[in-house]
Amino acid sequence: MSITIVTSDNEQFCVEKLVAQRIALIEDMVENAGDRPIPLPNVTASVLRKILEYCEHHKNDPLPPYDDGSRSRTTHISEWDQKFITVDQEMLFEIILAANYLEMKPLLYVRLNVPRVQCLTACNAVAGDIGCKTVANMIKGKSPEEIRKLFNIVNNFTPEEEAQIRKEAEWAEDR
Amino acid sequence: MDKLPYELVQEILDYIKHNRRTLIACSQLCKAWRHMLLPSLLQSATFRYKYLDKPAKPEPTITVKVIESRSWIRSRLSKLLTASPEAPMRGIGDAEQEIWNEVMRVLESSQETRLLIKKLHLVGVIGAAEHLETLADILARVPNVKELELSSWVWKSSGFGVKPLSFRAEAITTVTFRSINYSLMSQFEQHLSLFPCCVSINLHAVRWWMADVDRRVQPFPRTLKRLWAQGVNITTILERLLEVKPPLQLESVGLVPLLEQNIRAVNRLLTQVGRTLTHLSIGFQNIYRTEILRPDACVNLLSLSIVSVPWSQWGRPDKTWATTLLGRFAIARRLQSITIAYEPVTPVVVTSSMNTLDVDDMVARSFPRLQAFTLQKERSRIDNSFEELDNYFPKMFAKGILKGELLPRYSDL
Repeated sequence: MSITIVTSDNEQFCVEKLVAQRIALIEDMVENAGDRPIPLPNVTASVLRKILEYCEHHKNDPLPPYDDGSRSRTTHISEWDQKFITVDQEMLFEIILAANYLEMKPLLYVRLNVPRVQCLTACNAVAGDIGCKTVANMIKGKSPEEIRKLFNIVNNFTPEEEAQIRKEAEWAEDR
Repeated sequence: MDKLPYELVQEILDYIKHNRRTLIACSQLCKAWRHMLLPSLLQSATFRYKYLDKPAKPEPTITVKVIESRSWIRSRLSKLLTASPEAPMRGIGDAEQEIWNEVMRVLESSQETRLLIKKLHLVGVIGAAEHLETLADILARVPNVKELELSSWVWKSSGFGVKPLSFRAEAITTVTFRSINYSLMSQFEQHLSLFPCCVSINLHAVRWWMADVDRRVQPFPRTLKRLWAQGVNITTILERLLEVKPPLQLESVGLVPLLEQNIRAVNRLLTQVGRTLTHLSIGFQNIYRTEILRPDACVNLLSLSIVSVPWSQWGRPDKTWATTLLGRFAIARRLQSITIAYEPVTPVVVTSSMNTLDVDDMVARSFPRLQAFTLQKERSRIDNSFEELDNYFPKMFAKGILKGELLPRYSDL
């Protein structure tokens, strides 16, 4: 059985239900939509294509365990996921945003039957997990200037503030 | 990156929260990131003045002639002379002032920063008696600090008449003094008096050259529940502990090392705090002297560790001895954990290097709730020389045979 999804740029995707079920937002919408196509106004076709590629690969994976906040935060990414996430920076952030929007993990609370409040914490923690890990890995070990350059972050400190911050950093580092 | 909502940026930062260097770099990117990162970054602050090891200005010249060849004695005498009231203070005094000014500058800089600091660690500051006021000034500027550690200080005295301060750091509940040399015990007690609400006091390698005290002053706060004293003049600590009125309700006590002359005072302390005491660690210079311990009131003890210091001349404690010793603690029916060890390291460390023996019938009968009984199996091959010891423990930690924190060596005191 398949479901039709329409992206913000009006492209239609016919997706196997098992694959679509990895995306909680869609799973919720399927019930109300019946046979009608499901619109995703915040996701472009190129991004959805990537997300479906991910869902397709992981469709038979066991669902991740419930996150009680104590889950270890390793930045390890499996080989396939690593390859999958090797995209340009714009696409990387698009994937993270889309994963967040699609609430890919509320799936978890339906299956595990945990209270929704707890589940939402878990969802937020896992949404775009690989994306966030990848960004964290990109940041690691870089200087402030390198990070700004990498992500086009504007330095909005005054020179005085900057001097002060550098001074504080000297002793903060030596904890 | 600016497209990402706050919670997703937080999510990313969560992956690097243990990488302090990266965290610091991120806090310098822009105002938004700084705002997000400051709380986790500044919870614990350390002021470390490494250049104190090599002062910018030369130390005043003091001729020290020491015939004794052992380096630790030489260094101790040298410190003693440097710390004496007669020692010239010029030069060092200027450097001290510079350091204090620097700490104050940082703390003055931003209120936001100051209020976020929960743990403060002041390292390597040479103190002078008049700097007690400066310390109070610093603490007044960080009102949210709960845990304070002062380490590697040499508290020089220019005399006895230090003005008492009205300031009290009432928010501080845990204080650690590590590797501090005072000229007078009263200086140490003046430091202690700044923390009237302290629950936990840890003393590691704290020394004073003269144990003069003001008997009208009670040094230990009445709120005190946990006391760990290692490498400290236990005799005077015990005296002062017993002077507190009404008696302290201690829950956890660690005293390492204990000399024979301390046993009577320890027995008094155990009688006094026996009802509330749940954790007891004692280090003995002569492990067999544990026989004269009188833990008769310690009915609520949950954990007991007996640690012996290395240079005593005792032989190898065996199971018979251990059983005899434990017989003295038979009153403590709630004991859950017993550790008996040789090394001058914390019981936690020692436990990891020991073999567990089966709890024999006697122990099982005496302590029905016992879950762990560890007895170090063999004595380490350590000569009684200080030079041997200097190298032994760093090696054991480097090889991973001992795990945990290497505490200051006694020979460094």
